[in-house]
Amino acid sequence: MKSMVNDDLKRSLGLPHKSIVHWSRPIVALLVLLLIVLVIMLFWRAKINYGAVPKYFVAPLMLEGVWNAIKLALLAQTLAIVVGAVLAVMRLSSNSVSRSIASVYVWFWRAVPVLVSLLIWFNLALVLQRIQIPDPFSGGLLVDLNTNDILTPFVAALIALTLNESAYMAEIIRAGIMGVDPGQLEAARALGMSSDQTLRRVTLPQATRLIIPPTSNELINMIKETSLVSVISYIEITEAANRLSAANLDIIPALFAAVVWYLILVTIATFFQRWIEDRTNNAGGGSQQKKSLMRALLDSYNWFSVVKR
Amino acid sequence: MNTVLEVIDVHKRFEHPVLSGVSLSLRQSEVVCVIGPSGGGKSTLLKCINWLTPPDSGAIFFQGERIGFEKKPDHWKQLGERAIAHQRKHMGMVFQHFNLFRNRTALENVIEGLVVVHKVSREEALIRGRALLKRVGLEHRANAYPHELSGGQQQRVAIARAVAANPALILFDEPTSALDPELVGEVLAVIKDLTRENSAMVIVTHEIKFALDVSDRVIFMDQGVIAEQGAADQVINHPREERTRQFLSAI
Repeated sequence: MKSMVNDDLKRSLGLPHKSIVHWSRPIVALLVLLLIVLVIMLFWRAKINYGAVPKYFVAPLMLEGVWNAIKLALLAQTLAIVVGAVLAVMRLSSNSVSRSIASVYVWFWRAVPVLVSLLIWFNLALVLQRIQIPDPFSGGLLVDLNTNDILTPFVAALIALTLNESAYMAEIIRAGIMGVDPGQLEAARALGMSSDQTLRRVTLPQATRLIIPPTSNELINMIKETSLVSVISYIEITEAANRLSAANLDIIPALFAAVVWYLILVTIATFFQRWIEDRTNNAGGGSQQKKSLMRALLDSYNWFSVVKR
Repeated sequence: MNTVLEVIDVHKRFEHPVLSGVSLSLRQSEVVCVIGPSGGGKSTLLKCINWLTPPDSGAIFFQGERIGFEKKPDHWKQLGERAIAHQRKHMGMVFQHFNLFRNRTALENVIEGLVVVHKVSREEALIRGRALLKRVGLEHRANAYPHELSGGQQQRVAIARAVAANPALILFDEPTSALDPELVGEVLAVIKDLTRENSAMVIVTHEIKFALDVSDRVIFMDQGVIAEQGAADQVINHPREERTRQFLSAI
């Protein structure tokens, strides 16, 4: 594609033009093709029961896992965005106490691996049988709950994923807020807006445009991170694949079915990312044309775009 | 005549002194142009007046109220951010780089302050906003976003935004410096048209002919002080100070 532009330029300048033949390209393509064939042959010769993949793909347990993974990823991401926004505002505030609290939070939850955090939340009942809050007035207990009733695998997973992700979202949102042109804030203040009016009316709406692309990336990551939750035997896609193949030796076919599901979910998330980016473009002065959802879907992957042109 | 603005011995330094004792007062509806070489403290003076850049010392009185402070029986108490925002309600400001809200249309920009700060109903604000856009010649661009407008159009919208709430004082910070030469005229025409209103104006500008045309008074600032001031014709055509003469002959 690039060389076409060069030829056009040469033509417009009245220079002689000649397409350059890139011999390296067919050679590289051939090598890659060879490699793919090799890998396919390897998998073909391996003893894999491919016929079982569709069966596992639509197994009730697998569908339950897919639904649980979607639920968990969306809920954890949403909570992380809310908590992250609060943390970002705290980190940018002039109050040194809230700044430090937010900094320590981000430092801590970014440092703790999600897997470790998951195991800790899930196993908390070992050391804390009951969650109790004393009532200062009656002397009794205001809250008295069995830890295992509260920290179900789902709740433990939600807490661990949200804590980790909110630390990342805090950084993303902070960068978005700092990316807003200071002139915009000056204009808002000169009109007599207070700082929270400026934040609500100017800073956050404009920061959103900067925050959306990395946040969509985070959502895609989150979908895949739900697979970690299999270690606390919450039924999501990976755990479903494990259980479906536990009784036989169809481990690889079951995992292949899981891979297909991850591909589908991530592809949908990518479509959604492109669509929402197009919709928010004018919030910061980008192109104003709004694409239909379908157009956005087709544009999501550039190989579609190449075909279109 | 009523005094709208009283600037008393304002000092401000960043790495080096920018304002070194500036005093100035403006009567109601008076138009003052501030000229002078770059780095002379002109823009800083404007930002000190509306407290976007609080001065190190000195005082600003706007409509009898001291900006940034509140009078207590025995001392001046510093005001909080919200109270200072409140004090700015009746000042407008126009920036060199327009600073229109990028996520709002021309009309939305104009009514933003009315709705959010002055709590005017949206319907009323829209009526006033359209009238203002008409006055600056942009009623047909009401629904355009800033990036769809030329620099001159953006600045005209920004001026409409600054005057929307009928401010007693409008500060212009080099309103035409960022414009292509052919767009300067339309913006100056809009500003000149507004001088018929009751707002007092402080206009920092490099357009000497314009200053001569619209000002009641011209101030020449250099090295953080007011070097010379007086009637426009006197300062521009018959400057008394050597520095003023040098500056005017150089441009």
